[in-house]
Amino acid sequence: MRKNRNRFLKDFKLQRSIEISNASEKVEPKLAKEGLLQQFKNNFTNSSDLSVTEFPNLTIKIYYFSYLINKDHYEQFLSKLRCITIEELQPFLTHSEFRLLSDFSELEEAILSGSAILFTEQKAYELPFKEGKGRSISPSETETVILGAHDSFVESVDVNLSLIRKRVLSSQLKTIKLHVGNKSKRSVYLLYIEGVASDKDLEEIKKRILSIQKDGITDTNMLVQFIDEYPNSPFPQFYTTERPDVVVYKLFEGKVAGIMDNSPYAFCTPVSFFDFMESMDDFSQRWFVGTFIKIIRYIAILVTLLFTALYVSVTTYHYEMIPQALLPTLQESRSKVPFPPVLEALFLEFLLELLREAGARLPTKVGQTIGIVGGIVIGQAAVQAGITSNILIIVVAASAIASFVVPSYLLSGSIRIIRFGFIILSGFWGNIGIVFGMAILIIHLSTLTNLNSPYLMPISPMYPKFFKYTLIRGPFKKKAGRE
Amino acid sequence: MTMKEKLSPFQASILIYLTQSGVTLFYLPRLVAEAFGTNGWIGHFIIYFVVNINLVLIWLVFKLSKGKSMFEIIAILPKWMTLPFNFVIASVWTLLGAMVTVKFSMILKVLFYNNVSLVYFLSMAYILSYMLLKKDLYQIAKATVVLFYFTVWTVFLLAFHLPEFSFIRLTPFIFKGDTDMLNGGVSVFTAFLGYELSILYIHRIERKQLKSLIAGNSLTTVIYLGVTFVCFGFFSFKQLVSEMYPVVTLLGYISFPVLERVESFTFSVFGIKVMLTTVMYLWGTKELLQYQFKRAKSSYLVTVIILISFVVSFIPKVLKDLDEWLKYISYACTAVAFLLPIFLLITVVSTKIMNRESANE
Repeated sequence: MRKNRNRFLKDFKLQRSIEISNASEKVEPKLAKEGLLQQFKNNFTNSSDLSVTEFPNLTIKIYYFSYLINKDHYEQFLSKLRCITIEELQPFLTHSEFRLLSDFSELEEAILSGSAILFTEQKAYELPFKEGKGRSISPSETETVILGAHDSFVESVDVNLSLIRKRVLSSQLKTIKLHVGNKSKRSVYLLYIEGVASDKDLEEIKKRILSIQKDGITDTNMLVQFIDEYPNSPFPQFYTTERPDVVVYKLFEGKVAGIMDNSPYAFCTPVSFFDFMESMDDFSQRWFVGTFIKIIRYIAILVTLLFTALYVSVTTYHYEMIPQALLPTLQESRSKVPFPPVLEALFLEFLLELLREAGARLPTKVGQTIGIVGGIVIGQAAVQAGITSNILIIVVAASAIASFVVPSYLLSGSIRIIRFGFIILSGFWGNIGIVFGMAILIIHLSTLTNLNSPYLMPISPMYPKFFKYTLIRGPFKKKAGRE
Repeated sequence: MTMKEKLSPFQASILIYLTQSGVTLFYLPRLVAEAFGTNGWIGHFIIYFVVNINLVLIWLVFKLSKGKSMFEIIAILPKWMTLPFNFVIASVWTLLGAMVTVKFSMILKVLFYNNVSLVYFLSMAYILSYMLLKKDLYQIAKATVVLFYFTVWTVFLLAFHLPEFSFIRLTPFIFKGDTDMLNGGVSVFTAFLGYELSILYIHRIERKQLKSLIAGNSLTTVIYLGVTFVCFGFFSFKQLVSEMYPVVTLLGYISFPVLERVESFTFSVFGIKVMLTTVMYLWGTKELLQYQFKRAKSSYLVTVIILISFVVSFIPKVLKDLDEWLKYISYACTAVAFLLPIFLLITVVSTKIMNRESANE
C-alpha cells in the first residue's frame, strides 16, 4: 500500500496538463507556420495513409486520414473553399467551427481523433469532420437485465458521455478530461456530481491516472489495473460496467466514474466487495424479491467456493459426516474411480474451465456444439469410463452454475480461480484445510482497499446503517438525499 | 491506513472477545465442574466480576494518565530498567500464544487427523498469524471482525442440544461435590485471559473505552456461560468431570439432514479463535520488543517472533507435558494481568506527584 502510494507520488512529479472539457479558448499560435508544419511532417513520416489536399491559389494544405473523416462533410467544405478567393480565406476561417491550433500536441490529437488540419501560411486550423462510425447502441451482453434500461456503452466516448448526460439533467455533473500514456495519450474522462462526490477521492484518482506513463492501455478494465492499490490481489478492486444506468446510480451514491475513449466500459470508485454483487434488476424488483436474490448470490459464492472442496474433504478425511442413508450411494459411485477425490475433482473442474473458455472464444454456433460435446463427455462418458463419480458431477455442475449467478464477470472469474485453491487444500488437510483457506481469504479481503476505502465496508469496519443499501436491497426512501 | 487509525468500540470488544476465547473453551465445562462442583456454571459470575475489576484497573491507568499509551507512561524510566520486565512479559506472552496453538493442533491431531503431522497444523496457524501480524492493529481488528462473523454462528449450534437438555441433571445443589475453589478457580480464570492485552491498545479505542472492554468480556462470559450451562444440563455431573473435552463431545451430537457429525468442521472453525488468541499475544510481544528496540524493523521483528514461536512449539511432545507448560504460563500470565496495571498506576501516580512537587519548587 505504502509502496504504491510512493510510486504514485514519485510518478506524479511528471506534471501533466489537465484539460477541462469544453475549454477551447482561441490562442494565438506560438509557432510559425513552417515550424508547426515541419514538426507535423517530421512526426508523420512514413505515414502512407495520410492524405493531403493542396490549394496552391490559396496557399493552403489540408492533411487528414481519409478513413477517419466524414467524406461528405469534407467534400462540402472543399466545394466552399473552391469558391473563395485568397482575400476571403481569413474571414472564412474565423468561423467558430474551425479551431485554431496552438501547438503540436493539440494538432496531433486533433488529426488522430478524426479531424482534418488546414495549414495556411501562418496558422493551423482543426476542421472537425470526424466520422461518427462505430457500433450502434445495443443491449449489454455481459450485464443483462430483465427489467430496466437495455442500452449500454459503446466504443465512442462521445456517445457514452451522451448516455450519461441524458440521465443526469444537471449542471452539477462535471467531467474532467485527462490523458493516459506517454505516446498514445488516450483520453479518460472522470465524471462526478459536484457536492456529492468527495473531493479527496477525485484528487486521488486524478493523481493516479496522471501517474500512468504506460502506452498501449486499450480498455478501461486494463486501465484500472494500473491504478488499484493491490495489483497482486485476485480480486477486482474497481467496479467496471457497460451500463450507463449503473454509472448514474453510482454517481448519485457519491462515487467518481471514469470512461476511456474506445472502451465500452466505465469504472466507478470507491467501491466495496458488495458493489460487485449488485444488479440493476434488484432495484426494479420489489425490495423483498431484490433482497432474496441478493441472499441467493451470497449463497452462490459460498457454493462456488466450497461445494467441490467439501466433497473432496468429506470423501478423503471425513466419511463420518455422511449420513448412513447416503453412504452406500456415495461408496458405490466412488468404487469404480481409481483416483483420489482431489485428483478426480481437479480433473473435472479443469475440464469444465476448458469448456467455459472454449465456449467464450468460439462463435455462437460452434459454441453450442462445444456445450453438447462437453455435456455428453462430462455427463455420461466420464462416469461410464470410471474416471469420475456421478455425485461429483452433480457437485461440480452445481458449483459451476452457482459461479454464473454472481453478477460481476470479473468477480466470478476470481472466485472460480480461488475455488481451485480450496479443492487442493481440502485434498491435503480436509476440513481444517478449508477453514485455513477461508481464513486466508477473509484476512486478504478485509485488508483490501479501493481508493483507501475498505473493501468489506460496511461489514468491517462496521456501519450497520449502510447494511440495507449493500448487504440487502432495502426499501426506498422518499426523502431527498443520498442513500 | 495510517498508524494512528483508532479502533471503534465494537472492534475493541470483538478483539477482546476473540483474544479471550481460545482453546480452553473445549474443556472449560470440565474445569468449571472440577473447580466449583455442581452448578459450577454460576462460578462464571465470580470470574466475570474479577476480570472486570482488572479491566477497571487498566482503564484507570488510561484515565489517570490522560489517554497516554503504556509506552508513553514507562518512557520516564530508562530503557535498561524496562528491558528485563518487557523481556519477561514478552516471553510469557510468546509462550502462551505458542502453546495455545500447540494445544489446539494436538487435540486436532488426536481427534481427527491421526496420520497428519503436527508440523502442517502449526505451519497453517503461523502462516495466518504472520499474515495478520505484519499489519497494523487497525487492520488486525478489521480482519478480526469478519473472522468473528465467520465463527460466531457456532454458538447457535447449542440450540441443537436443547431437546436433550434436562434441568434434573443440573441438580438442586450449588457448588457441592469435590471442589477446588482456589486452584480450580485460577484454572477457570485462565480461560478469560487475553483481556489484559487491552492495556496496549486502550488509548487507540476511539471512545467508550471502559464500556467496550467490559462489553468484550461480557460477550465472552455470556458464551462461556451458555456453553457451560448446556453442558451441565446435557451431561450428568460425573460424566462431565470424566469427559476430557466435553464441548467436542457436545459438537459430535449435532447432525443435519445431509451432514452429520460435523464436529470436525466446527472444531476447525474454532481454530480461528485460537489463532486470533495467538496473534494478539504475539502482537503484544511485538509491541514490547518494538519499544525496546526502536530501530528494529517491524517486519523483521514479526519474522523473528514467528520463528521463535514455531521452534518453541516443538518443545512439548505430548498433551500431558503441554498441559503442565500451559498451567505455569497461564499462572505467569495471570500475574502479569494484575501486576502490570498496578505497576503502571503506581508509575502514573508517582509521576504526577513528582511533577507537582517540582512545579511547587
